[in-house]
Amino acid sequence: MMKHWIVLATLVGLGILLGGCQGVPPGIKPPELPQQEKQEQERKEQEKREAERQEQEEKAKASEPSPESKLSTVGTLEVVRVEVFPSSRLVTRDGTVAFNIYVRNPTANEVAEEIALVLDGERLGSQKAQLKPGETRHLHFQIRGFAKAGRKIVELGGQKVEISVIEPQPARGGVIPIDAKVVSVPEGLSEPGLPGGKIVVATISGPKTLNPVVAQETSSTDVTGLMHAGLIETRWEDYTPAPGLAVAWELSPDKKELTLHLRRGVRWSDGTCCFSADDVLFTYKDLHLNPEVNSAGRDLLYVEGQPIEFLKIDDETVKVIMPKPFRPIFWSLTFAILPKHKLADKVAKLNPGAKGYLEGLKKVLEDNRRALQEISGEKVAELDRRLSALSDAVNTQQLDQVRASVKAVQETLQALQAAVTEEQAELIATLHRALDDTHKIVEQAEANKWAGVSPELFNNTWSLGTPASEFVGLGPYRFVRYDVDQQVILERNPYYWKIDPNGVQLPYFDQFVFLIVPNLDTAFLKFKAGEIDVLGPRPSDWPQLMEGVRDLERDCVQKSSDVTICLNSVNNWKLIRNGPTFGETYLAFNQDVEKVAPDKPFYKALQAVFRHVQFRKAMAHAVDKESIIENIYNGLAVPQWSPVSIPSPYYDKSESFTKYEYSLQRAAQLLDEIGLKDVDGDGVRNITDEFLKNFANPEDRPTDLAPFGPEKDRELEFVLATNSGNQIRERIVSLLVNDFAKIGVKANARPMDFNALVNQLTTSTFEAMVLGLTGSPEPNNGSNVWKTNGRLHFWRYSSKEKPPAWEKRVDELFDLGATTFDEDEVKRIYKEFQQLVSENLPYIYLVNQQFLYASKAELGNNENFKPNWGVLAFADTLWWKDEKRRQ
Amino acid sequence: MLSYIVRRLIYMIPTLWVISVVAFFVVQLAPGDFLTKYKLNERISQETLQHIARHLGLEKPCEPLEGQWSGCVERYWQWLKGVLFSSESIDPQTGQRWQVWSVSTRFPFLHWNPDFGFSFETNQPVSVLFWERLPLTLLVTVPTFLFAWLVSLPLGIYAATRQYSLGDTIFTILGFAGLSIPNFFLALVLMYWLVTSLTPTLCGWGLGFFCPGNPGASVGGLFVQEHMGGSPWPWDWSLKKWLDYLWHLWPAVLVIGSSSIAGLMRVMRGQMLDILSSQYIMTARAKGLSERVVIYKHALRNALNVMITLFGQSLPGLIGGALITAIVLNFPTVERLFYEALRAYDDYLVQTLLMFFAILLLIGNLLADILLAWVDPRIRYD
Repeated sequence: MMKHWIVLATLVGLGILLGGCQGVPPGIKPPELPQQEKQEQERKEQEKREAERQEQEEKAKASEPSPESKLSTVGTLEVVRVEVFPSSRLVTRDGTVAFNIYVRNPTANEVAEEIALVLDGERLGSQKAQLKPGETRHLHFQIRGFAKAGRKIVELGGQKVEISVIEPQPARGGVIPIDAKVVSVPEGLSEPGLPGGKIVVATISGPKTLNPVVAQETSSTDVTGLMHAGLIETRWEDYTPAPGLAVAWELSPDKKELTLHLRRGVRWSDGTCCFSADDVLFTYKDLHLNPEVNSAGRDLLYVEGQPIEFLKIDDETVKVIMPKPFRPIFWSLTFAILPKHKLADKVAKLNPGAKGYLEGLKKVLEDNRRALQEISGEKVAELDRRLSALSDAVNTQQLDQVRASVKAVQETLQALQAAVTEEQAELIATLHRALDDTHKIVEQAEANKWAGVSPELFNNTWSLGTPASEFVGLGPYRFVRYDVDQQVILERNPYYWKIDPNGVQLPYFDQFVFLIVPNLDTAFLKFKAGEIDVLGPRPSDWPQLMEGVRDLERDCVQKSSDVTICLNSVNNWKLIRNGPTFGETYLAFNQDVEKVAPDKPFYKALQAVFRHVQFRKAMAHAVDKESIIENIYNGLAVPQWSPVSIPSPYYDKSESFTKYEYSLQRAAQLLDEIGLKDVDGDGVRNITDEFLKNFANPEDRPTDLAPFGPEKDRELEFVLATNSGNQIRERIVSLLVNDFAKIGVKANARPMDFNALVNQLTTSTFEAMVLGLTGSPEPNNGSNVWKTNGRLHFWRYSSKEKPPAWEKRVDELFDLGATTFDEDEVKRIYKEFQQLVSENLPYIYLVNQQFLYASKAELGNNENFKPNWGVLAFADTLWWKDEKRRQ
Repeated sequence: MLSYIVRRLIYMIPTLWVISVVAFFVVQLAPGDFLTKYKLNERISQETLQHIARHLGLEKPCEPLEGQWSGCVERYWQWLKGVLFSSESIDPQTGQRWQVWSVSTRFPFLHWNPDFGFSFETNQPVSVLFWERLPLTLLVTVPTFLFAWLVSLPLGIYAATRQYSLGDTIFTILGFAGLSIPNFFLALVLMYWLVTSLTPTLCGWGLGFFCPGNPGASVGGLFVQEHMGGSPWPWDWSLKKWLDYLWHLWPAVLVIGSSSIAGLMRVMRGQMLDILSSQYIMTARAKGLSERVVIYKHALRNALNVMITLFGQSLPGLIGGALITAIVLNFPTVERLFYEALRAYDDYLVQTLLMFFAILLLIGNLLADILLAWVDPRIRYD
């Protein structure tokens, strides 16, 4: 039996297409082609998706400035790069391996060469590459299935790629799809495990909904995240995209189209076969982009106000069309894919009911009334009469009458259609659609669907009261039960589409239990009592956890500069410290502070101070980060200087941004220099006339000092607020207040209710604030904060009208950062952004807590926990090393 | 008597209405609303915010302190309308019948089925959220309530009859300690002691029940993970689940009970002392009645009046008594729902629960009045 079959027919077909499609935008390619096998692409935009090994090769070659170095040649063409999906080169026996080979034409003539795909010496097929002078483009190859397991060598354009083919073991109760993903190190599996057992983790609050589209807060998304899967996944090491439900992808040369090849044979958790492009389109078009739906992720599907489009090419191929090149597109493709077969009848857009179709029909006729009137006014009048009869029948829900009136309407429509001349093709088509609608009305009426479903129905679907069998997904776990405010139980999805390198189906655990523990002290005690297996401890818990670590030398392993793993042998715990987390704490001054009291000149003076960069620099020098780290975070934090989270790949690792060392002397000197001096000897500096006259920014300089009153009444004093209840922030504030007092700046600490604080922020009526935002690997997620028109640009909303020069540049940088695909270039862009922010100090960044994590020592595969995923990471690859726990 | 009860019940209606208005608007005095927490989320755009506001009916602002009333009035009316005029227990959004106990299924002739609104957070009807939590709440509060009363009454009597004795002093000190230590703190200390010393010791003695993985080693919550779920009613439980429950219950009974015991005991003692010093007690003693009869028949029955009033007032405590303690001890109770609803500005949920507490208080007062009449022949309402 021919066990390895590649899509030879389509390769040949596309070889011809490639020859003939120069200058034709890829979007116009006939959609009936089964595989979009080839697309042009420039070499540099692909680094993000490079295989790990290749990246290292690249790094080794970093000394060479030219990124266009060739790897080999095919005739006169140069092969500049080969992308392999999956980058781990691990594949199941019936699985898909895909290649994007990038070739360049270095000559001055048009060149056509045949590129062949060879597997273990056997030629599987070839494609013809026809390139214009100097052009670089890619060709897409796939191998689907191999004769038997083992090592294989694939030769493509003179490049050899070694592939390991893995034979899956029998499924445990369900089915392993033919195209299963083999999970390897970059996806979180350090060692293959053994199946069985259950894990119990704590969560602060129960889920609010189990609908992943509308779920907003983590208590819900933590649970739904395990029940669903996305097209693309993110690697833990570097946050680069990895194949999920899409096995491979190609980016068009204009970077506006992304073609995704979907995994074959993936079953839904209810056993339904199979996941396909229809589900992808349903998820994105009918749910997230549907205005009726309360999508929590919709904002990620818009690029500058324009929606991203999704097109079905065939059951296994989806094309994503961006209005502009949009680098963070991969984050938008991680959304949970939802089952059309379960949910389609919950979406109002897809279920208008008899009434909905009737309304649609009426609208079509209304829109074309004039054209129809010209053909036959008599018929139109008849149609109106018959339609109103139909309306009555539908409203009174009488099936027989509906049938009769529909028939009458159809007759009239057909009569009209017959009267239309050939030239009016559009009108014919319209009438045709109207006829279709009439059939639909009868269909819907017969199915007793008169009114159609409510637009709110989907938002309330999959709520907490829904029976477990209704929840269907593609994630590693299935929903079993929610015991209100006590626990959520999930069980292994026996149809899950991932296996480990031994061929064992994932996930290893039979059950995944969330214990709901609202109080963190209680959670800590429950971890001590052994009731929960994993804990995300606070810095204050850490010393207690480390008590059982007797010998730091022997019990702790330094895995990298960031990661330390300790074994507490007394309590049998594994304690992991893994570098800084996402999110940061900062101090912000309101540069529109006059809005606090527009009629008081003092605030105008204070605004001039806050807007003066040297004042902010002085304040930055007065922040004692070391003390904050030692006294408040138990030493478990690092200083932060940059607006990009430290673990983000776009963090400027060279730290070229400005740092302000702790020096009260320097701070005082800076303040003295701009005339902010204590003129009345009360120990608090004053906003002096000298400052207002000579030093304030020109646009803040008052022409007339008279309304400001005597300068000794203008103390340099402001309210430093933070949200009450956040103990860490409250302590930071009191520490800052002390230090500021030492340099004669009087800050009044004020913990505020969170909602009141948000109110002050959004209306620009705060004075100064210690606050934090969540942060993420992707700096573009901060555009709401950083762009001058951003909703959260609360430190200076007025920049929207009158942006300072550096802010204009930040706007540009954010636009560039989102549309540039060259990773090095993107890093340069965000580096400049980090420098600008550190020089202009709209925020004074404080410190960043380290990621802390504790688990039972016998939990396997969790050494690589990364902040982005919290304690729930790798839910599908964790396993119990202890045999007793596996039972 | 019956006419009195009917009269009281009728008086409740305007009282409840006034309470509902005050409760609703006082809660709204706090700045912000349910949407505020989304406003600082950097990934949510203005359009999405508006979308959510529209979905929940929160478009109009409700900030009484800033003079923005329109939203408040609208939401209050929405809620009141649902409670008063709703006739069917059908979810208007999904068209499904709510699976809860409802007035209309029991008393269809009333054509009335109060709809208490829905929760902004979970989109579920408030009544569903409430009923889901009620049984487990009662499992915590009823034993605690009984414990507090059954212990404090005898203690109070004991302390009063032996005023300034060693026993009285000890109970007084313990009582004041119980009153002054914050409950949640006591709960934490108790749990810490359980985890770090008691259960390891008991396990060390070979008692398997206290070893890790068994109910005895678990702290907080009502059950170990395996016993959560299933029927909330004790008559359906296995012996193992019973033991599990009892082991988890006693810290709560001790912690929550200790503070109420102190208060109740002191009141009981004071009342008893008051009565014991009155002249008719002297008369009773003088005519040679036994001390037992003097205390239990003559003194206690008179001293109970105040206790009965207190009993009536403590009825809401059955549902919403020990908020922070319930959270620290991880009990899935109505209190926790109330607390989370307050924090999330889940208006209809907060309002309904407040009203429920108010109704319990009114009923408790009525019960106390009826009981008083029954206990004390001098009290007549007609």
